[in-house]
Amino acid sequence: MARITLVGVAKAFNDKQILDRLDLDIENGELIALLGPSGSGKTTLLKLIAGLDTPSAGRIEFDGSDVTLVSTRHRQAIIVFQDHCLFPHLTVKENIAFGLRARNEPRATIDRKVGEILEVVQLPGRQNSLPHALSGGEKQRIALARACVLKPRALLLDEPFSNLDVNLRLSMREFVVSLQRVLKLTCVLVTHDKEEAFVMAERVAVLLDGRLEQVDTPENLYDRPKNKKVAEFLGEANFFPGVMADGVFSCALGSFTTPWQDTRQAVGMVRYDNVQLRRHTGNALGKIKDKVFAGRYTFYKVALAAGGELMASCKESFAIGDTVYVSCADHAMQVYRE
Amino acid sequence: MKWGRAVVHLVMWTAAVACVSPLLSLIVLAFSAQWPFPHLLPSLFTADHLAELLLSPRLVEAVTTSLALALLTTVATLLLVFPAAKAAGLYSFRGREALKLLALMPVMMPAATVTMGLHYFMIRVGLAGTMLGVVIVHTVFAVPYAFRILMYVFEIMGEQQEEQAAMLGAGPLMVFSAVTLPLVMPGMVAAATMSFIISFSQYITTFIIGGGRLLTVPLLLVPHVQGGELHVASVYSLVFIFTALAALVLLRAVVRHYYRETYFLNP
Repeated sequence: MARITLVGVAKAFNDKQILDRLDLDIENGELIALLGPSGSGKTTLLKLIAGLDTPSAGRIEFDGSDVTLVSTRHRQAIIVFQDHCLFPHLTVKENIAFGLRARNEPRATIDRKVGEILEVVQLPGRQNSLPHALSGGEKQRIALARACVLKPRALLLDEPFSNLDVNLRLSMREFVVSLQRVLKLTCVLVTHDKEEAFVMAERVAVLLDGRLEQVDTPENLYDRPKNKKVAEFLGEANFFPGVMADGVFSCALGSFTTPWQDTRQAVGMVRYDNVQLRRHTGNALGKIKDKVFAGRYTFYKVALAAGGELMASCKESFAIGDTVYVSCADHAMQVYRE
Repeated sequence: MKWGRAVVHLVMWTAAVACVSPLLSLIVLAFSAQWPFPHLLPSLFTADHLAELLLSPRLVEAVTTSLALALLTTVATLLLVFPAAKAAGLYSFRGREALKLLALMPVMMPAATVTMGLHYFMIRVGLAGTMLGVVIVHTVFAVPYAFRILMYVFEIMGEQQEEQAAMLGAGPLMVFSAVTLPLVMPGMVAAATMSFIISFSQYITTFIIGGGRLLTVPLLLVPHVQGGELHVASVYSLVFIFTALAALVLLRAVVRHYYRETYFLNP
């Protein structure tokens, strides 16, 4: 359990910048998600925190003391990988005991701690199984137990659930969150899955092309993406080019108040689920061009009479070819100055 | 599906018969006293050649020397190859491809060429005709095979397991003994088997470097084959095969034993 601070951390491989001067403060006992597409540098950052690699610039601090050059072995930051990485030749008990053995703890203590953590991960009685005899979810829980039994200063999860099937993934998410709270671990979850990040983390750090674009609570991130890049990455967003003048942004969807007073070109963003479709009143006239039923919502593609298209998701039912009025609340329109 | 299985079985059994049938004819030959021309089997069997040859001091000496050479060669090869194969299999560095190619060189050239060159050198440093000299030349020919085998094993293993061990707090010694070594052990056994067999079956290299002072089983065997003394040759061949086989079975048993009894974490 430690507060982790990244100060100007950068990493380059053969002149290619993978991570570009990141600053990030992770609170003691916090679960933060690092969200980004594959190739954005998430795993590289995790390896830097664990000490499997050294940054090209900047420093990493645990509880205020610089650990940038502390070896992996003494750093007490443990990655749980996607493919669990259990030692295949050791039993469950031996796997979990591995780190305790490395610390030369007495046998009685090891036995007690292994027993306790197996209770916590709800797998007592699997002590003498070999990893290949376990199911995917069980392997992942043993891998978590092996890390957690050491009470690491940082628990680093590298896409830990992406090899599991959907239902198992959901229950593992809950399980990890409760485990992290019970053991009060500082935890960094790397994922490319927005929903996973939102459901599990207290804060989400969006990493795009090696830069931290936004670090925020899931609510803020969803409602107010800081820039167009983040909004595009989070998806289900409509963009409208328009003009900003005297605190008003005007685009195909109408006029919206903004906090800015300058006059310039701008882009407005509205999420699919913030677009309202009505039959009789609204800001802009449009016609339903296409629809896709997706369970909770139906997605509609609407062609605006004034030109352009947008996507909306709602529960109301319209038919293809229906005429609708499109509108959107002031607070739902995010305006980005280009 | 059915056809696929039938083909697999056919290939398997053909291979098994092809491997075992020469051995049968060797056994028959070793025990035959009279085997006149058109007969399928000898008309008279005897264990005399076997008894006589097995007790001869030359054979005992040859088997002992062969075993000692093979054992030393195996140890030397593994010690040399382990770090090299790990580096080539796991890490990327400048000259990695060159190293892989270089490691194959001894078997890409005719054995006699390499041995002649080495012989000249060994005469100068006084290693010609010594055990050490022969071990060195055998090692030269065992290294390429052992290197290849272990390199692939390291490639398959990858770095992640060692990294995981380090993150859990293990020092270099524990990482090596508790993770790396057990994980590559199947490859080590394969590489050791290969090295042992290569050393055990060397003829020309032992002949040149040993200068006749070191008597091994192949040195004893080959003149009899060339001289047409098939009874003697087949007895020696049987001794050759079964000694090698026994040594390999023993090797595997030792590895198994080591891993069951002193397995580092087993309570």
